[in-house]
Amino acid sequence: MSDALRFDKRRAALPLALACVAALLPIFATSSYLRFVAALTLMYMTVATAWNILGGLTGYVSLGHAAFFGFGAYAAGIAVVRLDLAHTWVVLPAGLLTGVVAGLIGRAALRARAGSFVILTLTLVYISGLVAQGWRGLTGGSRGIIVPNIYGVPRTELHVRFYYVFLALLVVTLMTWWVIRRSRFGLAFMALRDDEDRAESLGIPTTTLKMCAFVLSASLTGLAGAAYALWFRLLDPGFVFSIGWSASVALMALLGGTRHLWGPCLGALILVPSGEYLLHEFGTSEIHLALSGALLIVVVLVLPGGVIPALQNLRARRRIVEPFDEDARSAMPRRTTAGVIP
Amino acid sequence: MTLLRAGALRRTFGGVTALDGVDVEIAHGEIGGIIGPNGSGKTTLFDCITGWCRPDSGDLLLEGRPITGLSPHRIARLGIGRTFQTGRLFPNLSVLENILVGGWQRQRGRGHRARASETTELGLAHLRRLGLAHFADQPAGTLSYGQRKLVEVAQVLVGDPKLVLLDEPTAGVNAQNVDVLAGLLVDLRDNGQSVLIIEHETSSVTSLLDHVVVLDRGRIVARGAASEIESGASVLERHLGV
Amino acid sequence: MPSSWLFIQGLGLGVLAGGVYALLASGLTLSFGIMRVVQLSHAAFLVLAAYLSYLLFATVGMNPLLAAVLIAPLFYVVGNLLYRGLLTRAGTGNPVMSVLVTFGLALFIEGLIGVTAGGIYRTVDLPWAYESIGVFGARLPVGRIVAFGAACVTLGMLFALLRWTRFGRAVRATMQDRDAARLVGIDVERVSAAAFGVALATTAAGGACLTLITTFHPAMHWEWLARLLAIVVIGGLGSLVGAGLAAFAMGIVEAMLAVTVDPTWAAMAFYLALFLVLVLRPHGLLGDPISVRRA
Repeated sequence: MSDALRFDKRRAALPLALACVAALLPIFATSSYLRFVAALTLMYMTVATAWNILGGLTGYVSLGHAAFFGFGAYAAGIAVVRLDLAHTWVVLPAGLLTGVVAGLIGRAALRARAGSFVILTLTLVYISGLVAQGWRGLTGGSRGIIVPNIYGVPRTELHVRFYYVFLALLVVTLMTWWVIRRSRFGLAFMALRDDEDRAESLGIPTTTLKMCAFVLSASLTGLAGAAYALWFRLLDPGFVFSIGWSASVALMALLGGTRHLWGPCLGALILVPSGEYLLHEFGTSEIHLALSGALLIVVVLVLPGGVIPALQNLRARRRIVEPFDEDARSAMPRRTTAGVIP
Repeated sequence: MTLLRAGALRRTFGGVTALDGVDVEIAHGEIGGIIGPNGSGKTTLFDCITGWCRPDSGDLLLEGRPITGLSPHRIARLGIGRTFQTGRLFPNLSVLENILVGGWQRQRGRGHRARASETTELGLAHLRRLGLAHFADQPAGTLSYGQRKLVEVAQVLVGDPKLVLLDEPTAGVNAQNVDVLAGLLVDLRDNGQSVLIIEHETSSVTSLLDHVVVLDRGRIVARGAASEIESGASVLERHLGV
Repeated sequence: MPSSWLFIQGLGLGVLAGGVYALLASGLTLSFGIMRVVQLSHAAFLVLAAYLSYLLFATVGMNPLLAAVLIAPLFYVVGNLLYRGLLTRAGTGNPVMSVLVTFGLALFIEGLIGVTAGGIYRTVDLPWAYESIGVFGARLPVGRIVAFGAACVTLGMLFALLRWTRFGRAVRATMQDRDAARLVGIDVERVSAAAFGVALATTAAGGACLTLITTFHPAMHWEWLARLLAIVVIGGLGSLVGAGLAAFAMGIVEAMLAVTVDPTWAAMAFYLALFLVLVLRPHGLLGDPISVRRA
């Protein structure tokens, strides 16, 4: 792993180019609607990457991230509406609080494995949705919360601001994933993902690692939720705590490829604009639902690794078969089989 | 001082008594063997020692210190390594990465990157010895059963354990590699490390055993120096009248 | 302490609900026993059946119970084909992937219903269903009583099928031990596909029951799924009797809570129970790698 953090100029080129494009995009997005979709895409990229901190590093698929998103959103919303904390910085404690709550339930939740865990995460969404609907005094019940516009600027300007907010969050989330994956913990996580018990029997503290991934994933998701509350301003428990939402996020990561840094972003890039387009054209989210479902089935059966590995396989087939000579091998740069990380 | 002492271990699952008052001792620099028919409790014994199940009663002492109830990863950190009958590797990691995972717990703190390089070198050395060096970058899932078993041993050895538990290490492995394995075990013994092997057939590995314990249905039915006890079949014949 | 009238009311409603839950949970248990994966689209098929009943009612005025008789064989065929075409593909090894496939199926069905029937709430307008009659001091809606009756009849047929027919025995053998069943000459794949079909056919009856009890909309399968998951997991996965008992227990607890406390918190009881059971169960379940330590 000694070359893990060496800055490979070629590999850094693509992300930098993307970063430039991303930073300048709002200039080219002229209509309010396009700006909205751009910001929304970034938001989903962030959430999907945050999801992948758990899903990709540990292999624990969560269908319950809506609980964390909603919690962060409501925390921020309540802070603004009831505690009069009308500032963007309120997202930070909201995210932190989400992490704390995740830490409390994580110890129990992570005792469940594989299939049970998936179902257990569903219960998290159900329960938090019910709490949001039942605790009317705090959360406004099924009517939800309407967060006032704390910036005093028109919506189109708001979209641009939050475009950059989500861009910053995305960078933070991507860096978190990247740093973990590149560190010595990255190998430990990959081992845990493949065979948790074997990893533990080799001395890897699997419970601690899982907890860290879970809490980080939840906090960042909550952070995004809090930002969403300040931006979108309508917190409806039906949307924010919906299973469909959780499913979309998981689908984005699975579609792009959970073993890769950019997998979730790619998945979000594919699904979000197309989803919005469908919503725009047909005025209904049901088609989106049906397509998500079908896509999930296709991805699982046909592309279990996601799009990125499938593309890599296509490229790899054109490479020359590598020599068996061991000395020649050691001179070649080591490429891990756990996935090419840019 | 003995390295590991298991006293009067008892473990039942549902109605089945897997271990019924089992005593096992192993000193530093010793190679011990456990033989017995299927279902005699050999793997359960390993599970109890490594923290995968908690014995209902009895004690387990590692260098005098009780280890019952500790989690598997703590026991691994205390210096007990273990392989599985199925040749359990991480299928999506390369062979070399698999071995690196074995040394992961030793890489904490500063200088961990240097230690990682050491582990890589040590791992490659083991692989070369086993004739598997050219598989270093291949996903472990593509290896054959016998190859996986060998890599698993290397994976455990790289963690520098005090005690290595090997579960049928020679199954599926060709004769030449069995000899290599035997050589590795001799090096371990010379180094003061100990090995406990579950074995099912005689080989150059079994000829190394300092002492042997025979299990049947959770009970020890015979123990002694390896020279006194012959291959599994005759032992069973003699002690169980089978 | 709730007043005795509330108590009887809760009990009555609970028993009626429990019967319907038992029917729905039995199908889910059956499919779990066959596939060893929780079929997350079970409730979606339930809602689909309800919509089909509604369709038949709205167009030709057919009674939902009669509609169920027509829909059941259709679902049987669909289930059989789904098992062969989709689920055997995903089933190899990875339990998470199989769960995701069934989840995707649930989303797909929900979307499909929404697209064709629209997202608005629908009811089957049977005036007699919402009248109440007095039973042992409680006032119970007729619709629920009829649904309960239909559920019991269907459960009875299912029981008879599994207990007394050759097919039923083959199904039970397959659920117990697939390999052993193969060894005694049972065509495990065919039996599994057929059993899965039967499981889906029960949702046809369940859907009819739903029409007599409540209004429905495409997204409601999630609520039902949560209830059924709780019942099936608590009742012991794969155990039909356990699921049945858990169904009645949950039905009664939920009704009691709804009548005495708040319906929202009542629903929460299911989810909390499910959460706790999933956390506390010592053995691997739902296809989990069995971690020996937990035993």
